[in-house]
Amino acid sequence: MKYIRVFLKLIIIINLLMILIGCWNYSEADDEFIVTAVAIDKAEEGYIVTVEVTYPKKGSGSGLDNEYFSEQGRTIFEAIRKTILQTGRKMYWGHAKVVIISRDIAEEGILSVIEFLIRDTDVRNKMWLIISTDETASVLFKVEDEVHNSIGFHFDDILRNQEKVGMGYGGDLLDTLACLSSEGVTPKVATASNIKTIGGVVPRVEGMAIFNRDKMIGRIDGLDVKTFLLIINKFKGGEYKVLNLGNTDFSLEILESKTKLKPIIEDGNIIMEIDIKMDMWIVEGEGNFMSSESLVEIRKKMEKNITSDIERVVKKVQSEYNSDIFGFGRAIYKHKPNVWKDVSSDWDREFSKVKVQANVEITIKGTGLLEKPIRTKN
Amino acid sequence: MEENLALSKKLDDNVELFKKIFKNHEDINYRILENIYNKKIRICLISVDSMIDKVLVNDNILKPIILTKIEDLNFSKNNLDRIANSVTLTNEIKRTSNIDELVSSLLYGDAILMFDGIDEATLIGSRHLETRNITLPSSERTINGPKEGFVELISVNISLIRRRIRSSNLVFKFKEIGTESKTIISYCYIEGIVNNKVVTELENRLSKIKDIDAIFSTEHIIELISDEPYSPFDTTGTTERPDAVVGKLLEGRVAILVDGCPTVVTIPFVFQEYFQASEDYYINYYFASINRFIRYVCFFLTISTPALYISLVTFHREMIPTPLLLSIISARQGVPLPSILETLLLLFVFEILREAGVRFPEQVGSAVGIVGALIIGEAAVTARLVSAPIVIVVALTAISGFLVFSLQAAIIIIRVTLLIMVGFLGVYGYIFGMIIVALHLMSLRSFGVPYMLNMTSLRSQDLKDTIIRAPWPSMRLRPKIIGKNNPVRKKTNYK
Repeated sequence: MKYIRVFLKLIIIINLLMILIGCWNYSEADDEFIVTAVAIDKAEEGYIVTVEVTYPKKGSGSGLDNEYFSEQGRTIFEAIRKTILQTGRKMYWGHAKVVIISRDIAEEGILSVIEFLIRDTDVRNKMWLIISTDETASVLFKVEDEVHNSIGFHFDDILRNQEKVGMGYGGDLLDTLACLSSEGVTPKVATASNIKTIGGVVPRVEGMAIFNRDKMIGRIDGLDVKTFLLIINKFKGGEYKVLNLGNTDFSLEILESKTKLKPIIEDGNIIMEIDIKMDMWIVEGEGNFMSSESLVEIRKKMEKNITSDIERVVKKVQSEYNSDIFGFGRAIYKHKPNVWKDVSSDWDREFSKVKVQANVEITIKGTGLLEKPIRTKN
Repeated sequence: MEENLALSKKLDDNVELFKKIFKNHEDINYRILENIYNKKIRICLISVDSMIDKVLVNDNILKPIILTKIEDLNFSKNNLDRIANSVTLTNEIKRTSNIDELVSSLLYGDAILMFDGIDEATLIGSRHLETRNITLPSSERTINGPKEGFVELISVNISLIRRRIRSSNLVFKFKEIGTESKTIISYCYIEGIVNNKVVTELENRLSKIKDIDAIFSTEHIIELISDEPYSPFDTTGTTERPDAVVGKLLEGRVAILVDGCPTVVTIPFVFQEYFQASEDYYINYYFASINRFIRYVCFFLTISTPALYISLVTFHREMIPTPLLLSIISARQGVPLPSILETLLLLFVFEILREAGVRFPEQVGSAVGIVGALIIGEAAVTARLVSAPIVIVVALTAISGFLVFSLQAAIIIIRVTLLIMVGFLGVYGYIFGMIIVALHLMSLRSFGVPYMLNMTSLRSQDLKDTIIRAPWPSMRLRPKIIGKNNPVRKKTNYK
């Protein structure tokens, strides 16, 4: 009986959610261009907005075509409306995936951009936010993307799978807004640039911009990002780092990982306990590492590696940027609200004094499908 | 008919009287008989050629009357009794002097015997009415379970019901309706189970049917006694299956049979009965429940799919996943009509095809399918008259509509109304439309029983025959209100 009531209430709530969706007017789907990505650059006066629109290929062939339109305006909205002069059609923003902001805007402050994007009714709040580390934001559009045919979809896919790769931080507009407007945590945004790879030049997410308030103050990349993601419990799979042990490189795949932040007060100092529980298995590596001794050795070494990485990254952020991207303040507010009352007014200074104690606990679940290393006969 | 028609004591006068009533009739037989032992006995037998059982009339009426030795005759009414009681060999005999009754019985296949010297006639049940065989009703086919269906003859139909409930509590009442047709209608119920208020109300409503010239189908009765004659939802149920009627009688309902129509009306009727098929009770209850659930889903689909599709595509595109939206857009490239007109057009074409499929002679029926599938499905899409997703939407709408075919009238009206509302308001229009439908359904009543009975209930006993079909051992109660006179069906809940 009780369950039926709960079930019915759920149905009612789901039904009520239906009326929360926006609606404006009757319009045909093929009368509008679908915006998939937008890049915002700084102009001498105002902004240059470049939009990527996608439409199905003309004729009977399947697939997508896309086009780019740039306009300058004193506000973003003015620039967007001006693009209609070029396209002749209205833009449809409901499916926009990515907003790319140039580095100079980010360094001056992203608030005005975010403000418009959140306020505007047409734009979806779940758009990914990316800072371009190349000279402009729109330069990321100048690359031919073979897989997706659209830079918007390309970034959407990358950031969606970010937790498995750990190259940047996948944050959307809402997340950035939440970091901006709450205390005890500062925003961080993925950065991207055109990178020459073996296959050609591709726009790639690499690294992460660190913000203080709404201004970008620096950037970390590589292993630091992975460590950062591990600390904020956003690294859920893939490889953390290659482990070298006795002339052999080992690859360990993360199966599951869970991080808990727990503040401890000791003699008036705040110590942030970072408990990480990880399941891994060994996917690559030569030699007989299946013995229990070498497994313990690998585990110990990995734990030690991660611990020292965490300490290093936290120290780096504290000393170089002094911006609480980890949300340590938020953790204190959650677990020790009384302490937070005392430190919140001067959190910038207190943050730099926070000590970190990482407890990494790795369980090696196995060694893949092989029990014994493959050996050649004779 | 003329005034003061009455039988006289003279046989010839009486025969003249009937000949006057049936002035232009050529199929009425007047047979004058004489007893071979007693020539004084002159008898006239009137019958309608095509409706009597000739063997019965010849062997059991004519032969005894002519050949039996009848003596000591004084023409009194007792004498009439004697002939009726000991000479003729038929089971149905009635004496009357009412000309109206004689005429209507004669035209229903009875024979009239008139005696010289007596101003009364005897009606003899000799009717032999042709009917078709008892077959599986084509509108309510089942794979398992009985394969019998009602026929056009009310006596056969009554026998089909009676033999399933051999209880003296099963009562049949008769009534004649129609000033010209004098159609026999019968309503039956099980005393002790039925809610007497329903019977009283039914009698009340039937008695109000006056001045109608003829009734020849249950639809006449339905529209004359219905609670809500202007609602697209029926407040009376119809079935051609005796087993279904018996099931409903046992739940406390009343069945109405109309002579000449193989459909039987059951009242009160509630919404959930649209979704109960006879098959459900003859197959495994898991399977039956799944089927029933599908029927409910399909009712929802068939009224909602076009409306929801249009609202998503023209108002709320952000709710469609991007790849799907792109493929919809690419399908719409070059289609001249707005999506909503496209849908209305295709729905209209579908209704044409559906109606054509029913009206066509059976031999060319398959041509409709070919034309529909090829021209509408293929050519219209290739010619970019309509887009492919709309064809899918309309096809889904159409097919799911067939699962609850008896609801078609309501379904078509709701579907198109929702679609038009959606064209103006998007999903808001859909929600408003659904609210109107819900309010209407909630406000309906059938013979005092709320139309949405059990649909809003949370009592487990009430839900046992709604969206699911519970196993028989657990269906202990009759539906509430309808069966409140005798609610317990089975006292113990055995395994």
